[in-house]
Amino acid sequence: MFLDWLFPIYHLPELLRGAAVTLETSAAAFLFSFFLGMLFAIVRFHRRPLVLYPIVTAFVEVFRNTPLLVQLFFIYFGFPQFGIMLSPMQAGMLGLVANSASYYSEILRGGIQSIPKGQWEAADCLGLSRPQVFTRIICPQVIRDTFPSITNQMVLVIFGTSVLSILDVKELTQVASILNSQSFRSMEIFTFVMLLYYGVTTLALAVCRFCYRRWFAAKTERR
Amino acid sequence: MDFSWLPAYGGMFFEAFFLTLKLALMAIATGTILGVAAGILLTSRFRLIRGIVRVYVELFRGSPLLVQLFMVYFGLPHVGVNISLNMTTVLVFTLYGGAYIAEITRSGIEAIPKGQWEAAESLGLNYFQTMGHVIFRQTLKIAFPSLVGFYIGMIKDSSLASVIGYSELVKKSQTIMNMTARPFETYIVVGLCYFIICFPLSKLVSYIEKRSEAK
Repeated sequence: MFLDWLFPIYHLPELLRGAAVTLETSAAAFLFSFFLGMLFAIVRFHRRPLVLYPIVTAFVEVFRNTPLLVQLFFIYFGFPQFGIMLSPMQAGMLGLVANSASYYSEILRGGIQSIPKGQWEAADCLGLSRPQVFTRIICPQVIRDTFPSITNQMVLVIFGTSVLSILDVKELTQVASILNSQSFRSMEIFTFVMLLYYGVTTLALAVCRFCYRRWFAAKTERR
Repeated sequence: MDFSWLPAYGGMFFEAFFLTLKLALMAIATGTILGVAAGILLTSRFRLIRGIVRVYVELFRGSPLLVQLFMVYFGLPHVGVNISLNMTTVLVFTLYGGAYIAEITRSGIEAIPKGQWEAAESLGLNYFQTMGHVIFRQTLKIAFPSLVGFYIGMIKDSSLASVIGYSELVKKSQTIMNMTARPFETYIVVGLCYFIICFPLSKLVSYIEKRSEAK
């Protein structure tokens, strides 16, 4: 037994390309799922429209209470039965966005619920329209209040992209698996990849902290 | 959709369902023991201990479970340690769960007002007595919802063990799928199996959270 810790360094270009795919996938999945989650949260909060509310609720509960892996398999292997063929990336993205949107809808719904009623009424008194009240008054406060949960879920999205490797999406984990099967330098590769993921999530969290300070810190009282 | 094959494979699903439950329960039990111990160490006075545990927690919270599974599954034999697949799986889930539960325990302990420590000290209790009789049971009450929330996550994450070949619900369902050629329906049943455990648990969490908010 001997460990060659330089091995992953030699293959850094491939691994970094994988990491770039991971970052792109995560960013796209995050944006889509956040937006979709916000829409779900609005439906869930207002309990309207009447037709959509039970559908969205069922969707959210199902996707929150089953594993991501099963959802991905369901989409990737199950849909072709009805003639819907998806590429691994499309299926993975669809599953990841649906999964994460369900979590975001619960996070954001909790946030909307905890906004005092006075905020809605005050905004109404100022003559703002319904969409304006939401986008200008409620939404920023919701994002500020739920920021830690939002970033937490974002990290879970980054980790979620590693599951896409099972569908053969060439992201960081899949690149590492391929390298592993070519060289059997398992310990070195996966330790390195673990550190890369740690780097990616730390970077993402740092960006979030920067955004939080930029957008909200000045407007909230110091604690 | 066609579920006519289901009765013939019902027994297999049932068996697989129990394998998943078994893995999840084992992982939860060992993960909780490790996590609580690590969490208490994270609040230790000694910087060195805190530092070492912090590195472990950060590393395992900062990387995907799948990579951890691969690292141990492929990596341990590579460095000359040969353990069974069952052991590997439980080991990874323990380390993974332990890291998250450590953080939950730590924040629970830190949420206890300082007055509790001071009161216990003035009663002449030593560190272990204070932790055991005064602090920990209060921590348990605070941390309970997030703990159950994480257990739900563990049950769902146990599906990833199928990737390294551990035979549980998802792995078995692949066999069933190959025999029936009905992937859509198969994964609906698999999803349902997870749903009937996780849904009541997540309802329990939101119930507890709502009750503690109302107080």
